[in-house]
Amino acid sequence: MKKSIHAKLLPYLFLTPTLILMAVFSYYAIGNAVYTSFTDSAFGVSSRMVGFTNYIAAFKDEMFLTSFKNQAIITVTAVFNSVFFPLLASEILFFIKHKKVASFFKTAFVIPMLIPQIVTILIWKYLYNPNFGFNSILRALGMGGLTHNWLNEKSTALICIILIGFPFISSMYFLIMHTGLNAIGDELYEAAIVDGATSMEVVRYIHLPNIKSYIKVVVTLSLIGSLSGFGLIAATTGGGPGYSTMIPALQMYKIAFGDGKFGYASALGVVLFIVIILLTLASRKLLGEEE
Amino acid sequence: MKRRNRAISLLLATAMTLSMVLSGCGNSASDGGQNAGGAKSAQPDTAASAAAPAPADGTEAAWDTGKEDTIILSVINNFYTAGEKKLAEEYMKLHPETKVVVDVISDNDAYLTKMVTSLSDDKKENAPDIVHGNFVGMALTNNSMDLAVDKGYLYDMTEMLDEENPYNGNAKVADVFETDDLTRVLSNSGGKYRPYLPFDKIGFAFFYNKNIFEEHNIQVPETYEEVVEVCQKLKDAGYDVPLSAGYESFRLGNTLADAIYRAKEEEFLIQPEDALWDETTMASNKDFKFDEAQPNCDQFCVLSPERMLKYGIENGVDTPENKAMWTEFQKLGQYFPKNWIAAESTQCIADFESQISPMLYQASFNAGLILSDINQLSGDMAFEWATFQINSFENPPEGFQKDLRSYWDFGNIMSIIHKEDSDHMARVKDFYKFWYSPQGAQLCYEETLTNGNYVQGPCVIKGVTLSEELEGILAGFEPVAPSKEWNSITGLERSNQADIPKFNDAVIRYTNKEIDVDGLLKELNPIYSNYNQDAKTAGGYDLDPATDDTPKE
Amino acid sequence: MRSHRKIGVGYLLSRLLLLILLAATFFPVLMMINMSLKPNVMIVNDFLGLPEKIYWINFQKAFHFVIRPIFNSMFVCLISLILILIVVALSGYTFGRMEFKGRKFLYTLVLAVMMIPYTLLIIPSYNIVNGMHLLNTFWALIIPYVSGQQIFGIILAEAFYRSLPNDMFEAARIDGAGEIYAFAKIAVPLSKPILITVGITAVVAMYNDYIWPTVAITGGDEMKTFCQIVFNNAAGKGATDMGLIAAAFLIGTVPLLVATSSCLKYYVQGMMVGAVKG
Repeated sequence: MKKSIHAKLLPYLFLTPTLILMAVFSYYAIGNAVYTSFTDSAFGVSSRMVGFTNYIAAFKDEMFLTSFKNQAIITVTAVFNSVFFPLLASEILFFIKHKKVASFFKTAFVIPMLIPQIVTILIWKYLYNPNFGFNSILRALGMGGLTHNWLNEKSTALICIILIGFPFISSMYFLIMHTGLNAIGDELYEAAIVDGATSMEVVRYIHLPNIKSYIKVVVTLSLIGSLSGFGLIAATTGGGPGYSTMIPALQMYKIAFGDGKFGYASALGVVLFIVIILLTLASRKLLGEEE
Repeated sequence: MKRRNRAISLLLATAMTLSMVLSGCGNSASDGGQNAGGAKSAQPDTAASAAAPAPADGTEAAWDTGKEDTIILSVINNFYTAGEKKLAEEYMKLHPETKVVVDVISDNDAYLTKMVTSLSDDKKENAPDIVHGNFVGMALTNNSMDLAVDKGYLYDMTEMLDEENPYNGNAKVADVFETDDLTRVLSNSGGKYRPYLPFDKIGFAFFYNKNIFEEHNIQVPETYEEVVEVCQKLKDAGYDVPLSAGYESFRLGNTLADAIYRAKEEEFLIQPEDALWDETTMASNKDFKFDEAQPNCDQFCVLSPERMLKYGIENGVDTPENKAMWTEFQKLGQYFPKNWIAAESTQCIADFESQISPMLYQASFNAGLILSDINQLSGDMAFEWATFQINSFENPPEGFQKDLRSYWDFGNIMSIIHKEDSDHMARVKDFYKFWYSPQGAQLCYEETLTNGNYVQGPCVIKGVTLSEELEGILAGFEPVAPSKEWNSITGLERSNQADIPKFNDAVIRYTNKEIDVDGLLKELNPIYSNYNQDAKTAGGYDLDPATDDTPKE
Repeated sequence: MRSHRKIGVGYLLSRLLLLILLAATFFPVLMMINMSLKPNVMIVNDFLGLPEKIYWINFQKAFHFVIRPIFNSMFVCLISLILILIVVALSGYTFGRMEFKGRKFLYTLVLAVMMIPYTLLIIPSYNIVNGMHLLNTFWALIIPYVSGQQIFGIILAEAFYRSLPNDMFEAARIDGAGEIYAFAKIAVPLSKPILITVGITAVVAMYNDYIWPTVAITGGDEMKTFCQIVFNNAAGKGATDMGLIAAAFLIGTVPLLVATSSCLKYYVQGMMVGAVKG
């Protein structure tokens, strides 16, 4: 089918708003960051080019390197949580017979999404408070020996950060999984029922293969989200104790706005950016490319 | 479906109406105890509520009254924000051609981000006009406000002090301040400029739970040794954390350092042969020697940042004096909460209010909050409390003097951002004078209190009076004499943001007894050195006080 | 018609699991309501306890300062939302269903934007908005928001449009319909669930954002967004008033709640349509 000029240009036309916004707000910023990373730009001083000095310092920076280790743990668990729990909830909802009941549960899972993160943080901070929360429960159950100063001990701080937000259902990922499950055609499902398949078999042979694209999207989004966000850690431990919960994004923020060292912070940012790109590409390859 | 939506809308409408009604009544007379003075009513004791300052007759505006302009006052929440909004309102009545906007920002971190971002543009067109100057200093290395003036960010108010204040009957701007306060501004900023004017003072004290003290037959301690003893007694009585302390505990460290270093204070003062020497303001520095009989004797002395930096770079942080300070600090520090360095004040105050910790080390700016909180406790959660200060050693250890001086320094530090437009600057300065006049400051304080917020500490502007009860409470925070700040030499609060986790980690391991004082100082040395090198480079210090320094461009 | 399920152990276990998950998910909401009815000192001293006397002061105080900012936030979110949905639908469809040179490359460019760390964007965005003289207006918020939130929406939309079965579009093409028709009359109506997902997530993110408004808005209280005002009035040096925060956020969430519940209705409808067509 031959395409007219009009049809050929249409895709680019449709993409114009996106591309312009991206160029102005995003690509200018990353370009600026790359340029700055090769200077010693700091607040209040004019900058000079310093070549790779910042990058060399970054790779010698013990805290920066440790923060990547922490980040790895946090990201792997975050991606898992973003896929597993929403999928679990969606699956259970799928098998509920009464549509009204299922709808009620779905709404109930979505509403907490509207609660801002700060409230969740406050509640979990209370639970981790050495004088209240979990420790009180442990003491009441006679297991006082298991109490810890959860957020302030190096051995427990990171794990506690990861657990914040349990059960991780109330999120966009749940909506995506739910959409995905319900988008699978009814005939497949009914054919399976006729063949006498159990719920577990339905899940394994019908659901999982057909929502692969949705799982891939969730993995990509949660991967990127986990690598860029630092609000949670900033509000709970600030990277401490020591730097057992420090992540690259937080360190970069502190250096940029706390010390005003834009040059070094930009270098850290560029390194982080490259790592994110590599990880995302790797994960997409792993989950299989589409057509 | 339609029915459900209608039901929701109805519910929403009812909820909104109900809450409008509820908020309509019970407006002014807020719940007892919201007022820092503890008074049940919102009105202070002083006769009439403050009138707004008015310009003296015959004052001519230094700007074009025909043109409209906007000035922006950027403040952090709880720094007299209600008072400032009222001042803005009253000022606009006097000068309708100037719009005064009060931009409130919720916390220190967000404020720093905003300052750095809005000042990153050289033209500073859209930067705010009146800001917390110390934050601009923080963003530049060495916390140096002098550097901020050198680089053109902040406006030096030295000349303004000699100008007339139309809102104070044309008296000089400087007249409402005590001379030692003005000297203190000079000393705190680095000895060259006055980037801000004094407004209030904040101090620190120990809060204690009277009920618990009585229960265990404990007397209120008066010396440092006694506080340590009390902590041990409380620990033996079963209190895991006898003294709830947070990040502010560094002030305690400085108090101890002050008892050591003031004996050789003359080494760190600006000397007549220095480039920064100014006969009129630094006369006290000449041949100075600290006199223990007069703990206030250095109130007119001006410290030299370059001398302190030189000392720091030459000696590092592991000096015998610092070792003595940290050893002494540990005697009390071992009773602090586990991760006290990173603990938020909210947490520490909560521990005191829930009676988990019988004592609390906190600042005057939270006294009002604690007062109102505890007033709201009832039944067996309520308890009586008071504050005490520690003014001396019983037997000072070697190297220490007997008297202990505490932090008593300016809390609210407001500077003017220097912009090119002289018409605009004239307006900003005029508003500043409006605020820093006796009537303006009085209005600010009273409006803050009326709105159920708390004041940070007593006002240093002459002529401002507060209620007796409030003055009484705040007096509990004033020490026998104010300490000087030795952080540049002890390394406290002197680390880059990037190094803070390492710094905190080392100190915590020390107070938890995982490393000893030598180990601590060894770990702190590189951090201290990093900071000093950055400061030296940014300030362009050549470490010779006799010569001028050129800050890095 | 589904066949009748036996009530087995699996059935009970899965229902039980669901209830536990729901309780854990809903716990923060309940706590928030509890906190809003207690004074802060009681929250500190007795977090889980029910209020002994209902403390309406939190709501009273919150109402005083929260109404105008809610309108500000809603205005910003609404305009942004409309723009975002338009851009997302257009670009998502383009990447998902149209063939053109450079498609993979441009898509990777889009994906890469999401990976830019947030800190690097603050100062450049400020300078751009400053240069456009939009500082301290609502457009200073709207435009960067659209730019930022569109990305994940495009990723979602692309996956969705790609997964739509081809026959629908083939049938339309055989009938002589052009690309624009295929987009507007076939793809968009089917994508309601995805657009709603994007919409809800984007609005929640924008409504709760607070760093960017702090930097970009230099005005007084009447310009501030919801999140800013709450923290301005309730958080501070050592004085975080949790009860006030909870009350303020409860009030602020009401408009979101209303909007979301009405949208979820279309969400379910939209999915049914898609399922039948599949």
